[in-house]
Amino acid sequence: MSSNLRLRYEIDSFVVPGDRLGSFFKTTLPGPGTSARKGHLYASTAGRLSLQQQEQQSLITVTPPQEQDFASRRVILVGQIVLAKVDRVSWTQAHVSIFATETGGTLQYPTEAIVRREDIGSTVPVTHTTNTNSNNNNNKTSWQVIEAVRPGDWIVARVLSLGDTQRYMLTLAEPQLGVWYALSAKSGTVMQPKSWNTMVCPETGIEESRKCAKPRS
Amino acid sequence: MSQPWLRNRNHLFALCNLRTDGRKASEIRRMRFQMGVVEQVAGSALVEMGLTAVLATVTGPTECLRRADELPDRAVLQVHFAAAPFCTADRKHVPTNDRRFLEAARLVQRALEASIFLHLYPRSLIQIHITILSEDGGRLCAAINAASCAVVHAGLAVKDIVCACAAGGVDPVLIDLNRREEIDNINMACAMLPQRGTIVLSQCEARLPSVEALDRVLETAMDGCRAVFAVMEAAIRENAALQWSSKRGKAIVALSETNVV
Repeated sequence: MSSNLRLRYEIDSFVVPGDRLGSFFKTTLPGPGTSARKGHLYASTAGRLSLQQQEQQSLITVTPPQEQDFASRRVILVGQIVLAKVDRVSWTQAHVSIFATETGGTLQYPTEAIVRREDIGSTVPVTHTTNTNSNNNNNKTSWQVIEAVRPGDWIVARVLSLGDTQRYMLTLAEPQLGVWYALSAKSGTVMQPKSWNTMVCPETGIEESRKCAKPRS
Repeated sequence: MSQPWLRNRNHLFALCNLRTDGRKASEIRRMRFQMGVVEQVAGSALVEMGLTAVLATVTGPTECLRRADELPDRAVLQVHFAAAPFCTADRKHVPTNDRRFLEAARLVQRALEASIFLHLYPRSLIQIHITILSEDGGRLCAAINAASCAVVHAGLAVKDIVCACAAGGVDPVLIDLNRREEIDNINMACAMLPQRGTIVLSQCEARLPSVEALDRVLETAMDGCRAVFAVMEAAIRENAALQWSSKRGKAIVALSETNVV
């Protein structure tokens, strides 16, 4: 297998972008950090050249030494869980700003997003109970937006789609998604979740309606 | 020019076919590359070409400021050009919307767009901030070299390292003009992908006597770019090796002479 490879650089040597690594055949594939052009392999990043043997092919990769963990290098992906702050609430949707992504990193700029009223709660009941009262209490299929989130709340949501040209679309229709931090409207104290749809102020005891996120264990 | 010792020195240099700073016609200035000078960004580079010093930082790929600015198939590259008030002999504050800086930023953007694989980062924004710390001629070439080094340091996928150098004069053709030579001679800035041999940028704002002179100046500028590439490649390779060593906790920081010409 190694006789088919014609690399111009030794394995584990350092290459710079633009270096021609060699020709590639059916048994040689360009991996991350390389690019192919007219039957030749070129390095596209500065780093160390490595070779990974797969079943019948070889993968030529260039591993950069940079630790790519900067706050300015995070892009929102569909399906990610994000941390957002509620800016405005209307009758049909809530306007939020995304500040951080699931990997724990903050974005460089806050990004606009919306949570539609249909995406706050699940429209399919998760349990099949014969008790009508229990069913209504445990499976809320219709929300008023003001009952779920309020301006100033911090929510944990999942990116549903790219949305339109200005905003992403988020969803709260999962048990672990919802309001994660809220202040009491009366006293301004941080409220604690009492149930999945109620938050209570520890100072005044006033209960407010929220779509609470399931606490993480 | 009234001092006799200065007149004698110029005469002595002219007799030896040397320039006013002691270089031959085909020599580039002393270059120095430092990468990773700013720790808060993904890529940064400080480039000194003679007495011209330029700092470039690369931020990204990150989310666009406005969703309307996004492109669905590739990244958006933005270049911002600025100059420190102390970069010239007379201290003055140049606003960032100066037309010369906007033109220079646009030229640097076009030079780098020809090299970066922008289609690998769809719907994202790559920002490059260039600051001139000291100016002694050839600031566009120094800016392109600094931005190219910063992009490579940031780990972005590029086709080749963009190298830039200026050439001027007709007989003889000089390489890498300084500030005094820029005033008296024809000046042509040239940027190219050296391992592919492709010119990505060429700018000349002077009256050339003939087409053969244009060919001669352009060929000389490309030779200058290859000389710059030799220095830049050594610096990038050494920086990658140093980062790998420090990643394993075996870094021995030594001032080497390989990236100093």
